[in-house]
Amino acid sequence: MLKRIFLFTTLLATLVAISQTSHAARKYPTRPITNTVVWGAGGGTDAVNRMLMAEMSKILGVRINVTNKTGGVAGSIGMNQVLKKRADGYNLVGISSSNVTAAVNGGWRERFNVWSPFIFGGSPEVISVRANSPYKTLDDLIKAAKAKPGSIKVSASGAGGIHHLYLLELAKATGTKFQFIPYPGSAPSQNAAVTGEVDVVITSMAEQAQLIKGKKIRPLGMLDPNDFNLKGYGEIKSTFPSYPSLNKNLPIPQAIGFAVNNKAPEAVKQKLAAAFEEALTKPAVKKWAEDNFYVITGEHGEEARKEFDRFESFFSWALYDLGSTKESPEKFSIAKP
Amino acid sequence: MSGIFLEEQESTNKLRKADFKAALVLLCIAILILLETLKFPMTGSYGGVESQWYVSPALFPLILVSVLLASSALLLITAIKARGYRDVFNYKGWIGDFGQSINRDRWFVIIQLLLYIYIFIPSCDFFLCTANFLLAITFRFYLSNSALMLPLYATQTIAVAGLFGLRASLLDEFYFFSMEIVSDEKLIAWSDSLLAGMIAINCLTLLLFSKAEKIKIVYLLATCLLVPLILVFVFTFLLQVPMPVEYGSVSLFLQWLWYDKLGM
Amino acid sequence: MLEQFLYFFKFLFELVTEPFNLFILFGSSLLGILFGSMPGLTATLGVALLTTLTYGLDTSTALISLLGLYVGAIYGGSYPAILINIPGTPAAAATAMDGYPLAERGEGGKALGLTTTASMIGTVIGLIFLVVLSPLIAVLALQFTSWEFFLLALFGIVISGTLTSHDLVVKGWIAGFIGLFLATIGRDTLQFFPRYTFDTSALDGGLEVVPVLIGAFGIPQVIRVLSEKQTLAKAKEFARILPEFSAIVRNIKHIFRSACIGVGIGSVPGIGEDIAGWVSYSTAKNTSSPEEQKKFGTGSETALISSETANNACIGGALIPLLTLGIPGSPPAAMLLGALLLNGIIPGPTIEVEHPNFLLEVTAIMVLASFAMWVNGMVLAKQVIKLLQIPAPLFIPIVAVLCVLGSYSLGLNFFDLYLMIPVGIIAFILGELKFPISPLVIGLVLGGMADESLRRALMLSEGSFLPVLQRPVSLILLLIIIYCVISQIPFLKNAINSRLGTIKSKIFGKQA
Repeated sequence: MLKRIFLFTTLLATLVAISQTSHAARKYPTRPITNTVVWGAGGGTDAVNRMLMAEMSKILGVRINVTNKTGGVAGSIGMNQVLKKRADGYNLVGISSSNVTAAVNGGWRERFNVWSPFIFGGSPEVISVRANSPYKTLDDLIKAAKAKPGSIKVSASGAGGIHHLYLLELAKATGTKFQFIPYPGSAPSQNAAVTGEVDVVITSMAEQAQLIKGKKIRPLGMLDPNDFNLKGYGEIKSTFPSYPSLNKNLPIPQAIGFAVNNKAPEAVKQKLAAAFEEALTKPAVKKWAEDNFYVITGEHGEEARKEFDRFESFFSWALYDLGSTKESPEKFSIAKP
Repeated sequence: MSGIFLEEQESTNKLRKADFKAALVLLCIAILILLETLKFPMTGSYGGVESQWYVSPALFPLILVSVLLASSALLLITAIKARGYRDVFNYKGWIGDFGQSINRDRWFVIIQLLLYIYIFIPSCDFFLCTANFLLAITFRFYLSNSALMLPLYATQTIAVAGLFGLRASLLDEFYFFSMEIVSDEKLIAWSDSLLAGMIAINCLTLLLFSKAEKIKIVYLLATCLLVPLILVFVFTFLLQVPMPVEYGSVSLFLQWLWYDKLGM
Repeated sequence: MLEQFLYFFKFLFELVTEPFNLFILFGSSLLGILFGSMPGLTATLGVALLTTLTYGLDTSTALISLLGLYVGAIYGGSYPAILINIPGTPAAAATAMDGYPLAERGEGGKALGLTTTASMIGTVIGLIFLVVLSPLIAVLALQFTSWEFFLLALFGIVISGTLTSHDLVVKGWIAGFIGLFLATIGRDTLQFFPRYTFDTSALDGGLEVVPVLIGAFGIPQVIRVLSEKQTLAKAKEFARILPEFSAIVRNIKHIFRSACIGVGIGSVPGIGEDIAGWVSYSTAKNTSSPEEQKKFGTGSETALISSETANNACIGGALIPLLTLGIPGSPPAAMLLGALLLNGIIPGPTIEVEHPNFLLEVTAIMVLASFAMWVNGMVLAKQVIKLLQIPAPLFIPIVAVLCVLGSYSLGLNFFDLYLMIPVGIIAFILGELKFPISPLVIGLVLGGMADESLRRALMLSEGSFLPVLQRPVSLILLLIIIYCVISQIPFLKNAINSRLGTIKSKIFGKQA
């Protein structure tokens, strides 16, 4: 009996002792990396991250686990917890530009520059009407909206989201007023346009392409400086030439990608950057992006940080002006756009 | 026949008494909700949406609260009709009679669950918390040996007090309860050692003083130590669900073993 | 039609003759059942895990494993519901209502056998609908605007009132309204206004259904079994798993009807999968003989078969909007969509153009998957029953740990854990006071939808209720709801019945 007790205690003691010394510095990466996506499974950010991580894991030679940790406001719970983990490059966070509002919405007390983001890209924004709508061009729509302000119902995902901001910019740039109808996501917003519950829908190309090709909705134009050639449908023109004032704040890229704690060692960031760049040159990634209507931008490092600074200031102040923020952007010294 | 009827009558009487209390509590809650709901914006623009009475976030809760008030009142009236208001000031009716073992057992389980979830899991390694929880439950309900219970209560008190003590001495800012998990690795290491020590003491008392059959002890130890280890292993490595305290001692040890030694 | 038929069998044959595919199929189906049977580990997590693993595999192999797991996981949810009364999904809660009483009587093996076979029949019927009626159902799904969503949610809530309350009826209503109220916590979807969050950011996102569900069913069960020194539902010696053929035949009309309900309601995105089981349960109750009606809630075969068949038929229903419109109806379906996208299949109205016969291929895979589920289920059920022979004081604490892990692993969110215990204690007290718990869960699931849809609908119609009467689907739903409400109030029911009786006798009297 005593022998067994002795064995038992030594086992426990060694267990504790070993585990405390087991994380000495080694070459990065030697063990699996965890990427925590702060948006729900099956969504755009999730899909991009799963695909990208699968490619990057081949390059880095370790497995990359993708998990989802949703909740809070603008993904604050996931970001909070990943930020608290070791800044050793083994913990990534899957994000998009919509996450920058976590601070002003009261989700956490950090600026976004605690991250070093890697931007895969995004899908351009498109404005569409239901298939049998009387509006043939954006001009028709604007004229109708001017004739009867607030009579045209527009769906653009949830209040304060990226699509909603596009709608607000469109209204501002054209001097019109729309009735915004919020839905809990892009899919229900588009569905509402298909069923004719709303007149207009603004979401991204990736989300609308199948409905456009299936002739369930009809695009009026791209809310993007570039025209878009949709295979199986034809060219969709940019609306910027006819409404140059849209150029002022648009486009706001979706900037889907991932980020690593900014405190991570420089060598780790470089290793990730190299793998990220290599992954983006892979034909599989390019084909996937094309099939799913994403435009790869591939920023990282200083460039990406600046880009996210811009989003942070734009999103935060836009929401502040709507009166739906919990905190003033000034509190976090976020500059006005 | 009449005996069964009386018995039924008895239990219904008891239920009506409980209903009376439940209805009172429900009414209080409903009134509190109502007060909170009345603070919501009824009209006016919010979040970029033009607001009318029918868009107000208070619309649905107001409907709910009124129905809830009405149904609680109905329940209250039913209870009063059955004279359920008797014994309302008797505390035993509220928290249960401690003279009955069933009530003591209930409170034991509830307190163990509360300790497990609110105190141990947020501060220690998941395997250790689970082993501790399982030992407590199985000691009481599987062995039912009262000689083991005293050391168990003692170690649990020490563990809880020690965890708070460690927080106070190792952290800049003491907290009693936090929405987030601890991320200070030194604190985790100390907390884990403390809890591991307490688990070891409990296992020792089990091996030394329990008069149960040998096979029962083996079953118990397998349930309390082996099963959680398997669970932790399956969840971290096969399902890729990180444990609540990711830098807990056992988790770190398993990771080191799995990734660095076995190179999986 | 014949050509498609031939293609279907050709594809099926190709799949069956490939040993690797069969291996993947049975493996993923087994994995799915294991996932579904752990309280809290849902199909969503399973599909998410496989998504990464199947990346880069051949498309049809990836599909086999994903669909196999999906079907298995939905079915696996019935295990903990029946055997220990801890449902892991809102849908499985309907199964627990009559499954657990059966298990308590020692007929757990019979219950599992029945659900396994009924599930398979339900899935296959669902698939037949998928192939034959998918364009029609897709059109019907598009009839669902905010009014219809509101009415459907309301319908689910009204049904929950009919669920057996052993004591006063009003208690069921109170539980339901508490659930509805819980659903309003968090940022409101329309205006992003924080309701009852008391400045806690953890509450901003609202309450997750799964931790509440596990708390409401799991924790009371743990407390009860341990403190009352209960033994778990015992397995009868040599419990027969293979169901009696006669039991299936006897209930064939229920199976068929439940499958139709499952497909129909399952195809309504966002709400269908959670309430189809309940709708089917309540319909079965309403159409049964008075003697059978009394058995509902105390272990009725019919009730069990109805809810479980509908749950599985939902898979076919949910795939219709997913594949033909690209609209995912539930979290696991959303994950499935993500997995399909990752494998280069883009569901939507053009899928038949881009991947001809894709629907048929999916159907063939699903037929195999449901067969694999049946075989696995029959083999597993016998072993699973044996688990109940472990002494409760050893088994139940492990279940408690699984509940904890389950509610944590869904969102890796600490708040979900913290939420589970108070919900569990409240549910325990409510249970002791003979309040039914199921309406609370249904309320929580449907409350958000009802609230949001009602206000959005009013916003679109600028405060007018008239559209309810102008839209065909909403009018039908409204009439059904009114019928349900009336049939629940004994006073009105009697009045109407006697009226009808007199009218009938007058008419027939004249004829005679």
